[in-house]
Amino acid sequence: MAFQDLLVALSVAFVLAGCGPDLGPAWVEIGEGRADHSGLDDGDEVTIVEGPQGGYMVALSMGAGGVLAGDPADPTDPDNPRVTFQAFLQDLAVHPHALGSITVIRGLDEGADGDLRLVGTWLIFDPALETSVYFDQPIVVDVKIVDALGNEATDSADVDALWTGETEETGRTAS
Amino acid sequence: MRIPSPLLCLAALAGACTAVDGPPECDLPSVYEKSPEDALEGPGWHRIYVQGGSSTPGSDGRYGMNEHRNEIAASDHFLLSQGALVEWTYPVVDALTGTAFLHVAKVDEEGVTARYELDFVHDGEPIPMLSVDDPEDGVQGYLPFEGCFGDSAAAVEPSPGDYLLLTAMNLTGGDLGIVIAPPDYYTWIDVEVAP
Repeated sequence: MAFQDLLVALSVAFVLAGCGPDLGPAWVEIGEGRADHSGLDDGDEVTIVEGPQGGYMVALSMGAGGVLAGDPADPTDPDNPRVTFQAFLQDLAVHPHALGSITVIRGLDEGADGDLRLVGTWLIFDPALETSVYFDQPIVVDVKIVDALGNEATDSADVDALWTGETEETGRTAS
Repeated sequence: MRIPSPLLCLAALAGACTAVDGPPECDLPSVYEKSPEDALEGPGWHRIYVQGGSSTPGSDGRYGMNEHRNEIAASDHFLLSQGALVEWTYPVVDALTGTAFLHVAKVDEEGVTARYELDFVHDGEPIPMLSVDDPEDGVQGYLPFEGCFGDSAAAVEPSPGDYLLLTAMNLTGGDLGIVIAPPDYYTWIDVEVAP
């Protein structure tokens, strides 16, 4: 390689390296948890709880890596990633619409395993639905994360939505 | 309670809001000329009721969320964690005059702060027009906000695909519900399309 070519190559590498932090490939794991993240696999169960206004909901969480964390102490930080959770019935012939969805723009906490985590996000089931549609039914829970650099990842799990009669007095515990 | 418009203009683009003395003057009409179904088109005042939108099915047959419109039933939409948000969009065809009225009915508890933002998204880029933090708790009912659009936004000739974007976010966590439950409670935006 000629010296000039080497300079060009080094310059290109320098510029590329300056485009942003090397975060590695983006990934995300769907999970359940009010205070901590517990990853969900196909066949796992999630617990439906009754909310303070009489709705029904599940506390979802996610673990992630390869994305900008933002600032968990500042909900207005422009680097905070955008995270969307959705739930569907596994049998779309019964109800093809989302059972519920929630989007959160919030900085991620650092997990014990060195990953990034968002916990205690309440997905509320569509109040127009009869509870029999989703109580004790197989559902799919999805998560999608998009960070401030445009890195994105998705994950989903086929789980059973269990209704055990549990109630949640206030959403404040989810904050 | 009505919030003085200068407060609402704090987060708008620099120079976007006309300086005002005293109470806001949005000069709202008593009769609305249009309640558009599809887009902000044609001169006059338009009242847009915030409500759930129906999405289109994906290739997997699932009716999920559109990019900027949640699939919401006609009821309270509760945002129970910090940073939780809900967004509504409305297509803009004709230029706006620069005046808007935002009326948000909400339910929350003491200590909760909500943020309401209105953007004009032009060529994919949001132009902030209004942003207000609402720290006041409300058991049930209406909290109307009144403010002005930025002149810069009004001066922009809309391109195909432009839209208004209303965002409600829970900044603190706790109980926050945005009420979209006609006929008892409504959330709406009044905007004026230029003659």
